[in-house]
Amino acid sequence: MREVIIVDFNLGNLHSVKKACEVCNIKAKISSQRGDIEKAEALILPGVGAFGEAMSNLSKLNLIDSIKGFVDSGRPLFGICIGLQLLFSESSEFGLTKGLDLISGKVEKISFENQEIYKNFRIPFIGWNKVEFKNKSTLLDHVESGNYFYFVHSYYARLEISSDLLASSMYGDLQVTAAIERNNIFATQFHPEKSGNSGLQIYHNWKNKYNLN
Amino acid sequence: MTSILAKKPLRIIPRLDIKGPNLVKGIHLEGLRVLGQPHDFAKYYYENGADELFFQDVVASLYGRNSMSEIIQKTANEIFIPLTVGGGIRNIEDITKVLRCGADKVALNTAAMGNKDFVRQASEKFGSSTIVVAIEIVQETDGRYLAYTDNGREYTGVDAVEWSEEVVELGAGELVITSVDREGTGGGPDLSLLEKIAERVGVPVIAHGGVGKIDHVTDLFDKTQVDACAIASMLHYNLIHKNKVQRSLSCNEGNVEFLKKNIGFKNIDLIEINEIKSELEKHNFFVRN
Repeated sequence: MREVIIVDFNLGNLHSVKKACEVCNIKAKISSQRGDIEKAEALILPGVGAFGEAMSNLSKLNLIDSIKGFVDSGRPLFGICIGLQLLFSESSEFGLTKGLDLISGKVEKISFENQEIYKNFRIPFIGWNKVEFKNKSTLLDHVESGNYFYFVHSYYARLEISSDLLASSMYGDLQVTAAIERNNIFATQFHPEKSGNSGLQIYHNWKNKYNLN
Repeated sequence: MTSILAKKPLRIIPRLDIKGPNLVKGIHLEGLRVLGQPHDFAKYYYENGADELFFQDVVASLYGRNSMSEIIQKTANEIFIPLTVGGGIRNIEDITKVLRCGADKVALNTAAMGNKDFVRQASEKFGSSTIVVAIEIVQETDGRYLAYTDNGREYTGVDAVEWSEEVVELGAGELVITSVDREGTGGGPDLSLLEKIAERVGVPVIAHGGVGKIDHVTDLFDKTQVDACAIASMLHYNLIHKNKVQRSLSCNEGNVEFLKKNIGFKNIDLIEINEIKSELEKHNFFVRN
């Protein structure tokens, strides 16, 4: 049987992602095995934490080439939070770390143009924010532009190719990449599994778009 | 334009104190009344605008037991907003267990005070955003704010503001600041304590203790830089008063006389989460509503 694999690279809590899959009738298994990833029907790349550690864990588990090969094969990948950031070319977290380089752009620390006005805005940002759609996709079906989603992050991704941007949100005066889509790659900076019904709808949409399971 | 943008997103977090199988509520964290089944309250809050839920096992660190697993599992199966669990979490294995049950974050207090390295290890292993440090604070007669442990029972002599800064340094991703003096009284939060801590740390601060009127919430966000407000009495008593939760009780834990007699609610506004948020929006605050 073909399965959706939730990639476990020892960062963060994957149980809530698995639970969201269950309620959306997506058969998913948590795994860090190359073999599982290579023959997966679709991949979810979740996680919270630091970019550098995430890349080094993926490298230790020998998963970097598997994930890149998987994406090249045209099968769907869904990145969440640090899983969105890892898709980018590089991150400035603790010096410069190279990412999976599947999406052109850079991951940078949240900072404000007008620091005086936004000095009481915390980093990390933990909380709900409005997400505005910037492009059309069936992945946003039955969700409205301006709906709220739950974020936890200190870094954000800056895209090079604006057509990759699906949705964004404003934190202070900073426009944050909230969701991206490029061919078979979809990723959100927010946690759809922690964003109530709007978030679960995103899982449903992903399942429907790719006829999963 | 600027004034609206300059409002950061704020959170309203129902706080559920758990003793054995029951939701309880005390005053100054003592004298616990049984209110009902935690799951009924949690589900209602999830469906009615809660931004997160905070569960605290109020006797776990006292008796050395951990009976929360069942309640967390049942809740996490139906609730898709962040769930933080505190009480009796002593080591890395405890955190792993609680997360496996479906919690998203854990709150550490007593064990953190006993072993500072625990905060560092935990945040390294699980990521800072998973590790919340809860600080229970009593103001001494000389005005100093001191951190207590074991649900506000044990004196440590540690300065609460310094301790806040230290745990953030050690890797805590968020702080829950409980004013034991105000907790359960409905007399209003300790704004000076909260502002002292909120201006000294960079991570989000959740205020807990004392909110009994809607004006307390708007005041809190007006006068301090805290990011979230944990609320118990106003929300719980509202549900009981409106009969929105069952009064089926397990009588082996805590005092159920309150529910049987239907005693009144002194000093406490009975209110829904979305009413609080509407009021905050009227005051030009940014909340999810």
